[in-house]
Amino acid sequence: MQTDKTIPTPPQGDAAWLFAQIDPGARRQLLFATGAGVTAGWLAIVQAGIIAWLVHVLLVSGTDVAQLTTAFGLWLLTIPLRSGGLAVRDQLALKAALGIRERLRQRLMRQAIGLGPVGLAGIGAGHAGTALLDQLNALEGYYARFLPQCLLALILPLSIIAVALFLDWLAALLLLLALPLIPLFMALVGMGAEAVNRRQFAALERLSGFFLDRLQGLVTLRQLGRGPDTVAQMRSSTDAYRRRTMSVLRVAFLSSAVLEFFSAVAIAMVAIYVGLGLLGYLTIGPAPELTLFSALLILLLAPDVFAPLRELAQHYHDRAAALGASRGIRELLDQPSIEPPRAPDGAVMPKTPVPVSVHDLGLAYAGGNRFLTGLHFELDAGSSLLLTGPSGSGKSSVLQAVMGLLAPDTGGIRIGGESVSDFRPGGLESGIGWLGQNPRLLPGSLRDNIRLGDPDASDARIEEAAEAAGVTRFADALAAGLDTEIGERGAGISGGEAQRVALARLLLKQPPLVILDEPTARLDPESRRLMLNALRRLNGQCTLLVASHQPDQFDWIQQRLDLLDYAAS
Amino acid sequence: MKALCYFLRLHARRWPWLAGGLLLMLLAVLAGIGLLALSGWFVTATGLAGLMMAAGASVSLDIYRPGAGIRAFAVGRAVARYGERLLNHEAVLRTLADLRLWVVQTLLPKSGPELSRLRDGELLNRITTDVDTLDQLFLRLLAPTLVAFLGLLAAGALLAIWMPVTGLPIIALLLIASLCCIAWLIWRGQAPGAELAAAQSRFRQQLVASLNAVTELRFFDTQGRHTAALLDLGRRTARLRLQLGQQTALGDSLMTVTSQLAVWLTALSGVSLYGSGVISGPVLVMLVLTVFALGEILRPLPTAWQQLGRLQWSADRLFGLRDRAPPRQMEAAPKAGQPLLMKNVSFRHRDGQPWCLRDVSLQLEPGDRLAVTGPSGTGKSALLDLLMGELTPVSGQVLLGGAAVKSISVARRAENLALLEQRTVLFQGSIADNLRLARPGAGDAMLWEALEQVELAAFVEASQHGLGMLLGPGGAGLSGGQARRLAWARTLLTPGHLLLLDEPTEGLPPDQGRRILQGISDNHPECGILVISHATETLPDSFSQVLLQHGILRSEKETP
Repeated sequence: MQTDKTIPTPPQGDAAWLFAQIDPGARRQLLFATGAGVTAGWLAIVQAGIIAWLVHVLLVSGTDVAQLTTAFGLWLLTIPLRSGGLAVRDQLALKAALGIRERLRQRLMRQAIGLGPVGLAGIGAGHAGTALLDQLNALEGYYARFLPQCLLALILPLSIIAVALFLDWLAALLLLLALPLIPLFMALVGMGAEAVNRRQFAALERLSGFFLDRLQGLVTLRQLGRGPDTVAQMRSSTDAYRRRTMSVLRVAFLSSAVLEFFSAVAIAMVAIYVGLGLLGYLTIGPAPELTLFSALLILLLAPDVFAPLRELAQHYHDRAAALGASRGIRELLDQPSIEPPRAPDGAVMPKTPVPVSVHDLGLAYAGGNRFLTGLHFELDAGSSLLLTGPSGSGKSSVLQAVMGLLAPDTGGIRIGGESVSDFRPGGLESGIGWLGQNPRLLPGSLRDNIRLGDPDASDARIEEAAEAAGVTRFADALAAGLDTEIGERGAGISGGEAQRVALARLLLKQPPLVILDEPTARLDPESRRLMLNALRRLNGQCTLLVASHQPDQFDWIQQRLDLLDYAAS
Repeated sequence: MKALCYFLRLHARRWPWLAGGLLLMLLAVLAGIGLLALSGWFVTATGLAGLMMAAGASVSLDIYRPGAGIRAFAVGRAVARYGERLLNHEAVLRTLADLRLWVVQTLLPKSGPELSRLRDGELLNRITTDVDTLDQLFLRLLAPTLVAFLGLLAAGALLAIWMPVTGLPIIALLLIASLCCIAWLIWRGQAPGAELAAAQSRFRQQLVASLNAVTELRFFDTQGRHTAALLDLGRRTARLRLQLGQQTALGDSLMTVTSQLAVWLTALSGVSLYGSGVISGPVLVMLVLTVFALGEILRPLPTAWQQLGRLQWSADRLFGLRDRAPPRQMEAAPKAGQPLLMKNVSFRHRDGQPWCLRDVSLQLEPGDRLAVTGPSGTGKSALLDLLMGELTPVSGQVLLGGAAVKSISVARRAENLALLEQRTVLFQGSIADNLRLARPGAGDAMLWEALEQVELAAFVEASQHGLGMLLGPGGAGLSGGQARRLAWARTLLTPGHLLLLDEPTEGLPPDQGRRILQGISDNHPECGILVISHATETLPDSFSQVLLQHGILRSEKETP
């Protein structure tokens, strides 16, 4: 098993990690966003003050036109300012969130490509894809909504209570009495929301998975005559999931109902308290000093004590989603590389064929168990070597070690006299042409895929390579020729045809060292013949290292090594 | 729009749940408005009464009924919220189920190759996402809009009582301004929204392909141009997202400004009405606070309506899955034990494309052992799809027991033909579940016998749960070879007496593949077996081989 240096981290670690991803630029944006939100919140207090004062002036002092005009004018002024503040908050926070997300995406992409095929296989390309797409996208809400709201939910209620304290300490106390309850609420709501989210997500995910699973096998189900059964089964299983989810939700929603209820009751209590105070029925504390202005202002502000908290509760699922996603992202980021290190200012492969020497090479599984030992060969520049042996004898691993994708356990590999670690990143790769048994093409045209071998190649050279690899033979029958777009996973062309495109790419690159891993294993006879003819022409043009368990196909390669002879027992 | 309407009608079947949720949502909103308005009235009334009492006047003010009203509104709002959330979640889960069933029922009649195309791409994933998006149609878009509209009406009615001349225009203005704001957002958001959806889908496609081609990229994209272009695409989606977010923020502020202006106008006209003695102070405060409370229900609308583009995109894509062709008539009922006959069939996928098959004839009778070999990409899969009736020949006929294969219902076909597809398809569930898909009533003994024939019995026996061993989605948990053999066992359980096996030994060691094939051939002399394979070394000697090349079928003897 992989030795993993990272110990399993508790959930707090996830939150801390999420927080640590905020770079100074994003931090500034988030702080400004919060500041704008606070300003908008304070402007709301000002507005409430104006309204209360207006009513007070109007009802108590009588209509003074000048005063009224001032009040209405001020009020009008605050309207665009307040909504402007909200817009700035949303926009800046989103900008910060997207910035953090794209920077993380860049890091993850570099990590995924840097891990290379061997390292990536340890985590799974599908897993990496999920981390780079869905899990990164799940972070947006956390930075854009949850984090700014966290501060707002702290600052705004306290600001309002401070104002209320100034107006009437007993009303402030009433609100404050609700406030100590709020951490309790929040814990309740938090736990509730988290539980709801976790279970609901889990249930929905299971349901989605089930749905996708059945959709993927729909042809099979139909051919087995199971179409109608599938529909019935899906109906009953979704019904069962629904019932289970609802029984969870019935309890979980209660926690937010409690917050809702307490805030409503607090507002009602404040309303009744100030009402009775104004009537003079209450003689305790500051109640007799309540004026219409202070009473109305307290009443107007009371809902705003709870509104930011309610909004925070609504964004709680953003946090839960981000925490869940962060685990997958960190798993990819923390995946250790198993490739040998490179020298930043190291060598670059020459353009002419190079000698390869492998000296006392030993290879081990990730857990440390040696499976190959004492491999030794010298390959002159421009000569060819065939590695044979049954599957599992380590042919691919030897090739990967030469390609710098796998660090040797013991011994050394020299390419053109330099060891793999002496090359700079990309310096070794620029001189190696590789072809495996299962070529992967990228979405785009056939021409684009061939051009990958040499981005600056002219069309004439691309066509030449396509001709030599037998791509032209099938491409001519396609409507758009070499410009035919191939879909996802090479849809539209067969495996044999894809292998020919991969060969054309290799021929275009004209690398000094060519490494082939079972290049004909999955080919039909015609493609195989084409492939072997083209490869035979490479003989002498470059240093050639081939692994195959069908050695008779490569009768023109004289130097051979059977890896079974080097198996570690 | 047509597509959205169609799916809305699909929602309509759940109207009791939807209507209940809507009603409770409305009650919660009205209680919220009532709470604020009544509290305002109460506080102002008590304030004035207090002043007058301080001045020595005797005032009688009923504080109990308004107090009770405030408490009722407060509790009512919390209760209505709770009920609304429950009902709406129930409704969403139900419509989600409806949508999923709709998708399955729509996809089921499609031909095999068409479905394979859907499966090969990311398309099925997209369908799943589309379904998840569409279930938001009612809860996030229509319900809040309807509730806001009704809330506006209720507020309008209240205002009309005390300020008929100015109140109604203010509400009308608010309504029109909100509608304009929403319309502007939809209009502005459509192009970037569609662009964003397209960019996201392209980015996803490129990224998944690149991660699968990481070795290729390492050795061919040495300058990192492809990776850089990919990351650029990612940044472009972020820019579009930001642009869209900008519009949402702008729409939100416009809506806030509009609703606050309405409050301002109400206060302004209220003050003049108060000045002329038409309304009292407490009523003035009540009216202002009523309009104030409307802001809360209008605020979510811009964001909700910005989703319209995405919803429409999802609805259109799902709608596009529908078959416009009327369902096929499939009434022919061949007897069991009949031969499968392919007569002079020519086929190509589209006009102008090279022929996959040219004038191919073939017969498979019970007891026959036939192997079709040939290079890949030469129409072997098309041959099988034609035999299964999934594709229609351009010319010629495929007959099962004298009836055209296409005219036989799928269930009947399954009674005659047992297929092992090239791609191994297994399902989430137990081993037994997977096997019984082929023969629902089969006893355990029968399942074990099938597993025995594909050399999988020992493995299943050794596992902790035996036949109850659970597989993940797509049969996860088995190795490639084990999965292949389980699918093979399932094919053996199918009642059909003609076995069509597409690359049955793929993923198996050649000697094991050959051994299993030989065993099946020996154990089922009554069956006709057709194997399609490019691995001739796995074919037992009892199979007569024919070669499919350039669309023409030749027996081995004819080839030079």
